[in-house]
Amino acid sequence: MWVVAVVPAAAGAKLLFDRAAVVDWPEKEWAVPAGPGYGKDPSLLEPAPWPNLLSDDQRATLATICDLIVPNDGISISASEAGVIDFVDEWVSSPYETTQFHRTTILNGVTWFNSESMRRYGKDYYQATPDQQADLFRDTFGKLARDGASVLRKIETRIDAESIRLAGVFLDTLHFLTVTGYYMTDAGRADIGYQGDKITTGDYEGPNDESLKHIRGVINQLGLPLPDVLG
Amino acid sequence: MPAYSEFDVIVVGSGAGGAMSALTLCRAGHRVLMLEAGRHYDPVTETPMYNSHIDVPLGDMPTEDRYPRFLDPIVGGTDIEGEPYVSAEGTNYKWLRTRMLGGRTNAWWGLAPRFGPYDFKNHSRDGYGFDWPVTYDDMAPYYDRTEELVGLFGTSEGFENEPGSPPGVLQPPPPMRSYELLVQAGFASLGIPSKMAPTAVLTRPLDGRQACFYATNCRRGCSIGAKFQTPTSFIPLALQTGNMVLRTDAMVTRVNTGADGRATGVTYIDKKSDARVEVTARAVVLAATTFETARIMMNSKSAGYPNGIGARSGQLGRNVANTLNFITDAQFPLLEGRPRYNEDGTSLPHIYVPWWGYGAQERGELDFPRGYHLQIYGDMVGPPSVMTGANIAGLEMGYGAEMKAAARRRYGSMIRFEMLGEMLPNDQAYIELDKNVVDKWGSPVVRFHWGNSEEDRAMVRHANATVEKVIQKMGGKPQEVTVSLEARSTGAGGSHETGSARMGDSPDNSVVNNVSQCWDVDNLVLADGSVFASHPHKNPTLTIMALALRASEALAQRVAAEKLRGAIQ
Repeated sequence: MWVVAVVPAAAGAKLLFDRAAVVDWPEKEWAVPAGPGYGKDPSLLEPAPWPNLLSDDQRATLATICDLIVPNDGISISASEAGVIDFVDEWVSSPYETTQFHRTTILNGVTWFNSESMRRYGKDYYQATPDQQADLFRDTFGKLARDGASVLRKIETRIDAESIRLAGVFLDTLHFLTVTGYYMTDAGRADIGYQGDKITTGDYEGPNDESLKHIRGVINQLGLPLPDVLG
Repeated sequence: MPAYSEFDVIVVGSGAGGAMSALTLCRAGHRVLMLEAGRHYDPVTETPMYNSHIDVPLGDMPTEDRYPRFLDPIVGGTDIEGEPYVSAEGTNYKWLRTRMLGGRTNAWWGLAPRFGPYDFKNHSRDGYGFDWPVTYDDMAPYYDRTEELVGLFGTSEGFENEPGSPPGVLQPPPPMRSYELLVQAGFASLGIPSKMAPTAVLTRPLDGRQACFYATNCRRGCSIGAKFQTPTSFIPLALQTGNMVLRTDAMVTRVNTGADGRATGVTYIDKKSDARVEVTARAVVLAATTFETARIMMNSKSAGYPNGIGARSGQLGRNVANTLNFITDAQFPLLEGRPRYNEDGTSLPHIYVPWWGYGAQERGELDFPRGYHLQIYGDMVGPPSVMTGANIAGLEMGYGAEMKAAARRRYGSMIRFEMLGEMLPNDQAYIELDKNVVDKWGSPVVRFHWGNSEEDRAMVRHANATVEKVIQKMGGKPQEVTVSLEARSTGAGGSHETGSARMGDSPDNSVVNNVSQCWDVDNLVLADGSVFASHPHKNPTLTIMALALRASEALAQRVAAEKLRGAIQ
């Protein structure tokens, strides 16, 4: 279920943008930040000890993209409203080799989005109009065709410019971090209906009546034997 | 031995086996010195019980500093500075060690099934491996008492080779969760029965420890003492007797012996000063973990023991095994959008699928002789973290409002199946001392050799096929397997290592006797997984404790007799 508006060139349809003119991917090497890290045996009760390093402009660009991934849909708040940018900032600022791929991809991705936005719209990405932001995002989202992807999708990926594909990897990475961060926040937990992590006095109650009724229905629908407690 | 020692028994290690031994010996009136190689650790003040993942560094993701997760109560890890180990060519062993009071009981997940009658006598049943010198009937009373001391919930159906407990021993279990009932139905449709997971979490208060309040993850440890960890249970109980002295940061390097060949005590490094300290006692209990215990014995060389203590049979360091293990995740469309409720429970699986194939094996229908069990996890148990976030909304779900809607539907529909299987000890899997590498105090380190048998691989394939079948019955779709089963399930990365100093009936083919007493040195007792004569798939900690209880009661009697003789002389 790929929600990507790419029209295959082979079909002769109109391209959404001029592939040849797309700005090059910045190949900047980023050093692992100095930290301090938390070390091997930290207090597990404390937050991350390293400073966040992103500039206001970088955070603004990330906020724009993160909110395209997790927008405020009228049901729950957006990624940036839930504070996910702090989580992304902490991640790329962390003094670990473990996060080096994410750091390099995200920092270069932010630069590329602003450069490509400047080329197309004459503005940094976060200052472009919402329609312009959405267009550039859609052009690049999910441009890493993975194992199991359709043949058509693999062809689409191959005809894209290298920089578009790398921007797609950037968005894939940011998608992971945005979604992960968002559903860890109170807003994200509430959005999907997580009801646990509450101190209970007395015994654990287990599934409520509605849940038992539902699972009984599922088991019957599948033609499986009902466990005794549902009998 | 000197005319006077402050201590009757030195216990090396403060984990499951060491703490059980120390408590037993203290309660028998003996003076115990407990030596722990790591630092003091207090679950009451150090456990991050209430921290939300978003406030935890990197949402609990592992880094080169913290592994397997940031929040795991593990001081130590697979790489400890100054304490290397070596893998032989073709082996890539990941040895998870702790350096903290309570050892790995702090981080364990509490699943505590009993071994059954077959598990102790499997060689007699199928010709593989080695029989234990004890029977289930020998062990049953020690299991009963261990379960009462530890505090276990569960039920006692008494499935084949899955003994139940006598009435009144187990605490009442929590109910199964909704998806666990579906899992139970799915396995039942294949003729596979399942039951409550016997688990070391209190549902009723015990010895000053509180009952579970069903929030936060047991994996972080437990500040209220509900999940069994020795620093909140056996260690304070032992200290309360007034008979125990505890020294942390005390890394034992060798067992010392006298002219008569008996143990006189141990030498340890005081890690804070790097001083080498000798202590003496009437007896020594090693419970330093399977591999570390064997290493200490190998390093205990002297004129009388040129190859180390316990090496006479040639079995020291052999017969090692670790649990075969793999994970399959699956998504179940019929669970999409299911009703919400607080599904946390204890945070651990409430369902347990014991091995069911004994009949098929007796009829010769399977190409492997031993069993495995399955542990099952749902994605709505515990708050989302960096380890589960990608399951809530993967890349394939796109982005934007549509993705959020899809996430609401999918959350609660993912189930994880984990297989834990019995590895057969084999000639390729053994440990020895490396000839060149030493730790920062100059002691030779462990060198790992690892291999698996065709039977091991056949079992893993069978487990995978079973899991696929049950997923199908439940209307689910397994996630694509990207790593080969063989690569994922060698047992070289688990934390259930056993067998480096197996027990047996004869000093010719085993290192210790049926009460874990070293054949070569009668006042040296082993009290960890090293003594296992085979590696049943059932998680080993309960059996480590039951064996330690049995061994230390026998030792307590011998020490009492020796003290009496000394008083008469």
